[in-house]
Amino acid sequence: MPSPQFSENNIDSESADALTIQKIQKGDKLAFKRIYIDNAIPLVRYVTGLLNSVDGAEDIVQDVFASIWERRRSWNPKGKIVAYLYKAVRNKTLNVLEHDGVISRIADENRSRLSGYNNLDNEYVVEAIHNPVMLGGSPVQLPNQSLEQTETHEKIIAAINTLPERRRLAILLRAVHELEYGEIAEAMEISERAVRILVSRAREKLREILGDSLR
Amino acid sequence: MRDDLRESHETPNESSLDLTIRQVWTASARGDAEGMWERFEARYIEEEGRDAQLQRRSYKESEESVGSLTGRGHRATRSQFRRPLLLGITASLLLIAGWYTGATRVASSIASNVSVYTTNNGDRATISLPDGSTVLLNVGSKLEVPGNFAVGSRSLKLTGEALFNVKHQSGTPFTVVAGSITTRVLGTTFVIRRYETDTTVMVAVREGKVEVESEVLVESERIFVALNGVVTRAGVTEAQFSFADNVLKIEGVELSQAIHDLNRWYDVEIRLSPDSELLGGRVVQGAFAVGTPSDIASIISFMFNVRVERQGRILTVHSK
Repeated sequence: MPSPQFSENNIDSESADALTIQKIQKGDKLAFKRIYIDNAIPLVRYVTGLLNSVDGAEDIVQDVFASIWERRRSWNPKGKIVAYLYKAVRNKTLNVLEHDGVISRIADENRSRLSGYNNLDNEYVVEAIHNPVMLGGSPVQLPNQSLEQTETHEKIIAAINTLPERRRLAILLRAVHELEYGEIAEAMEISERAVRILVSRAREKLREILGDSLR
Repeated sequence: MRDDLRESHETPNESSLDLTIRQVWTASARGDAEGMWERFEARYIEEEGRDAQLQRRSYKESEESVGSLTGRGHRATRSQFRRPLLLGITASLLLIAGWYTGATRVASSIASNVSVYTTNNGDRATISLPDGSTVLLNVGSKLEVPGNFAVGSRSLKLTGEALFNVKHQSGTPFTVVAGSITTRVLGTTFVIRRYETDTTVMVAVREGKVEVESEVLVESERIFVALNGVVTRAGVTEAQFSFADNVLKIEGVELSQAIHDLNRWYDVEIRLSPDSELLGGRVVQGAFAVGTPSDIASIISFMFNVRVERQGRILTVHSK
């Protein structure tokens, strides 16, 4: 009985993401850790903005990764992994906001921010809430960073977090994770044109808020 | 290429804004993520490993694993699948190696009624019973555990295949009902198999002693009970226990029969096209590790020198 070895080359995979998914399905902890390290903190920062609080943000992100790891055998996201992750933590956060009575007033504000997204016009209604809490993980100050730079950092994060949620998600996927508009459209379940509008409105708003802070 | 695309989308101004956003949003992200990963690992991965070590009977792969089962909020663990896809038939198979019980996040909601554990095709799971016994549920199987299990009697119902490792408890018999056949157990390790596609109930004893209807089986004995009640005896081979070691062993079975096992193991549906009907009589012999539909497609095409067309989980076999 011959015993050939079947390598990953046999498995039709177009992209690096598809290969990563296959590895994770087979229980490759390193492949899993890689997507974790690449995305955990940006995701915590994103959830922090949704919750208006650092508390709970890490738990939500941990839970999402835990659930992927638990059901890795059948984990098979369509499209980009990073898009899936944002979608998953967003849904999880929505559930928390909806079911957790502890988060009350702020959550209500957030819920209204989060719920009005089905059409683009609603975004005007649910325009920015000032959000003083933005740092997920740890302070953003880097070792060799001046206080002034740190302030700029915080100001930019604050500005991003004041964006309506869908604009924020769109600009993050575009600017931070460099997804194609089509990939973002798939993840957000809207048209590519709508994504372009969200991204360009986000950019406008950020320029407006940040003004001089941007070089 | 992506840069070209991006340039066509963004003005230089936009690109520089995007870059700023990216730098700010990902500042110190990887460094911070390492600490977060340690917390993650400690909470979701290492604790499982520790729990498992207490219960494992033999130490094999020390990789972690958890899977969730459908059914009443219980969780059980899945085995680890990181082996070559086709193992040599001589591979020695240890019983109950590298499988785990009782994840750290058990949502225990055992009501007074029956808890149902099911595994999908391609998945296996370990279930810890309240009496300390464990059940490794093979692919595409179902185990029903009554809420009053371990109170006075220990009775289970099985469809499919499972390996039982029963804690001896004098005065509290352990019984498994599969099809119309009841197996009574003293402390022991044994496999019961009765899939819908099977025409018999099979019981194979690895250790100890069991009683199947009125037949007594001891270590290394195996029994088949047909639907009409006819009993056939045989000895055990490694193949009956190999799934506990993440391997499906098929020892000289015609492909038309082996298809059922392969379908469950790889969660596929193998079809023999009319032009390849003769293939159904070819004999399958080998050890199959865990893999994907495309893995088994490659294996079949290699083993029988045929062309396998794959559409999702449906594999159609054509003669070349």
